[in-house]
Amino acid sequence: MKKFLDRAVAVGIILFLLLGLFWMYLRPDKINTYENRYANQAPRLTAASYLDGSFQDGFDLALADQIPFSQRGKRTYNEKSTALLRAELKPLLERERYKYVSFGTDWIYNDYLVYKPQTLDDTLKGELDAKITNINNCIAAHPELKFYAYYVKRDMDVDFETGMQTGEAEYLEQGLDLASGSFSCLNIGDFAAYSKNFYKTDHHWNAQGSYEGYREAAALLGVSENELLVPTGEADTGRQLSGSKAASSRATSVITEPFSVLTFDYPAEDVTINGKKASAYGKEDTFLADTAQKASYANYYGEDYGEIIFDTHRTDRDNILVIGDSYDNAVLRLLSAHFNKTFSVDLRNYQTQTGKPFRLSEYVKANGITKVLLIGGSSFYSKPDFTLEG
Amino acid sequence: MVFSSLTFLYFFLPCVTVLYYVCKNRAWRNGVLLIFSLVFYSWGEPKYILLLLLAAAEAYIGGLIIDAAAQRPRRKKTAMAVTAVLLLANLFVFKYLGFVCGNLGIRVREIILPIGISFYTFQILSYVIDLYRGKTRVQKNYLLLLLYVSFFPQLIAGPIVRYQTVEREMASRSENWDDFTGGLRRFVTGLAKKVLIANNVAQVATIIYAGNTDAHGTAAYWVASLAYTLQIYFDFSGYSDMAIGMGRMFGFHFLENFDYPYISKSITEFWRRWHISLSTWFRDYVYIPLGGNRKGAARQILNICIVWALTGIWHGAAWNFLAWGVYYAVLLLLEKFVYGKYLEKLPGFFRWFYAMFFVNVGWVLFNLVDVAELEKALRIMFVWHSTDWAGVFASNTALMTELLYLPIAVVCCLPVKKKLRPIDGLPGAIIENVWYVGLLALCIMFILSSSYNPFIYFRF
Repeated sequence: MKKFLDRAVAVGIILFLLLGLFWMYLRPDKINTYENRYANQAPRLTAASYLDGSFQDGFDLALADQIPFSQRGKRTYNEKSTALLRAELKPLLERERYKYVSFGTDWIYNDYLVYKPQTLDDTLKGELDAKITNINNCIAAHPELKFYAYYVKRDMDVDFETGMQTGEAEYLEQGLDLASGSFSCLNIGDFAAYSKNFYKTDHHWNAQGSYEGYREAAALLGVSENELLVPTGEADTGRQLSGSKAASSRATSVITEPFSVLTFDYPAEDVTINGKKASAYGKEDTFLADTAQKASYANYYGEDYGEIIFDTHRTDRDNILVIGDSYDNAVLRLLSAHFNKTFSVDLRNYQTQTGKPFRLSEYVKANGITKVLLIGGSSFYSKPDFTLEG
Repeated sequence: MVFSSLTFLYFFLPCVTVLYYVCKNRAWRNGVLLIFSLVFYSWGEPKYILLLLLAAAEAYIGGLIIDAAAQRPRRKKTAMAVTAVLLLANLFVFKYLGFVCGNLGIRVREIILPIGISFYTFQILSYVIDLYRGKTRVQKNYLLLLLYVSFFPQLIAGPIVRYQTVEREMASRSENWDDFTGGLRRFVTGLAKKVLIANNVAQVATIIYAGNTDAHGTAAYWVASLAYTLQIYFDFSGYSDMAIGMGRMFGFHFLENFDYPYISKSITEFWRRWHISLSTWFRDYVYIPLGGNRKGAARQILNICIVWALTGIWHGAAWNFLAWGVYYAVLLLLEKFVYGKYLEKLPGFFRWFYAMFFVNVGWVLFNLVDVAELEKALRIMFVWHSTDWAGVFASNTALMTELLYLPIAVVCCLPVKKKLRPIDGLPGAIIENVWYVGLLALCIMFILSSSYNPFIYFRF
């Protein structure tokens, strides 16, 4: 009996491993839900891909996504190891509350998962200069348009230990050829301001921060104080958020925070996403009632679509183009209340999702746009993904 | 391809095992092993497979000439010498040319080191030399010789299997269930040593040595050196366990490569227990032919120095490896000629502490290739600097978790298993099988975790 068991287990192990290989080819997953991305698929074998090693790399990545229980295995590992690390860290975090303490790929400062501040070095200046030149060229080419820029300062812009600012927003303000009073930023000067406006576990601004951003951006665009939308209430959704920083630090569902939102009475509007009519952008209207909805910034406010058009049919108002990164997701609907049509473009996704390249000249002409708002954080103003064309 | 990868576990190992046992014929089974061995090597180094084939061809042709010149000693010796020189030249060009030219100020194109070249070159040399000495018979089938050279379990990290060891089993071996199940368990044990222990204690050394702060003092550097000492043992002996285990699964019986080296009570004993296949290779193919201890004390000292200098640079083309080899030459000479007999009279614990102290310091020499970094590490280890542990942990909290693996590693490098009384019968079998299945599952989970790659800008 002992020998039979030993043999059965040995054969079972080999067959189980073989099953994993077949699984990858016969039952591949399209989405890796745990890691929030498309699942890697088994690569096609060619002589060239084998010789350059890309087949081998792809094969290993595909196995990691496709073998049975792979996501559960990663989740279990992450949850256990992060819980252990948290328990170990507790005394240190209490002692070093006002210091950066490393945690996974990020840092913890006073219970918040944070990024460390950047340095405005030659590399970053070079990236910013390229973007400034790009934007200034657009401004010069379109004297008929009014350009505005809003910069979202966050943890990467200030050192909470020393209070030193990176100075990126100020560098941009100096470099951009904007009309006076057309640049503004969310002013995060210290940790108190940061913790009021940002999530603990996600890199985005929270409900308070995004509302503050909306107020400041709207003021920049000439919306008067009494026209602003005012929250009808603040609601605890009863769900816990474990956002992007928790994910990158392997702490999804280990480090969580209450997901609170502000509610508004939005004016009626039509929404078109990537050329198709949609009932709404985001799930603000249904989220509280639908308890099955998962707490996440993009799920609540809306995703990074290539193009979103809000139409309030107030033809007496301007049409505005908002070009930004994911920070604009939480303010688009609020801003759209003040315009006839609000066009939101995410340059990372525009071409892939609409099937055509984004050309500013053609776009503003075709849509009767008179104002352009640039809105985003450091990445938006420094990375080539967000470069405007024409 | 490495054993501790998903590709090996989910593709290579089950496929080669199933296809091997589907074939009933010995030649077909050897064919399966050969094809998979070549796939295994080419997976990571498609281009360098040609070098491997060429080295095996050199040995094959050299072997045929040596065999044909059996009655003509001079021709036989010349054939052996030419073959050995060609093989060593091959090794020199790919492993040492850049280092030598760099030190002579000559600029040469950077040459990528082919994986496992030191191991397979020494294996081939053992075949050629043993054939010359008449200790083994010529292999007239190139494919079988190629299988010996390229056999995937021991191809990239040893043990250095001599042709003599597997000569008979290449042609006729009998696989059985005990070997298969025992081999698979040995493989899982080796995988666990590598994935669960070596990879984690490695982080301790890496984090501390990479730390740029002044927080890392004497205590931290000793912890780092201990971590590396454990890492290299579990990494290397884990690979040897996996190789020996897989060999058994296919009916091959390789010699042991490690025998609990960290229980040694002298440096001499340590080298009887550590990387046995390498130390015995140098003993049989370099030390004894040089005269060993048969030509007087002065010659023995010279022979020991030569062997250990070669042992050092076999591990890598850098000055620290040479220094590491010479370091052991000095220690072994001191034990042999100066204090060895006094050492034996000391209590066991002191002898063990002495041996582990020098082994530990030796691994610092071995680990730190950069001379400035090595000098800094040794200075901090031996000149007291306080360690700000809070600062060390704050700068990289992963260290806190990785440190938990140190005591586990210390226990596991002792012969604890030998002292455990096996439980007889079915309950024992159930416990053992649950243990190995659990260990494998844990290893897979740890390997999977390294592929964790969340995309924060998608669908959150």
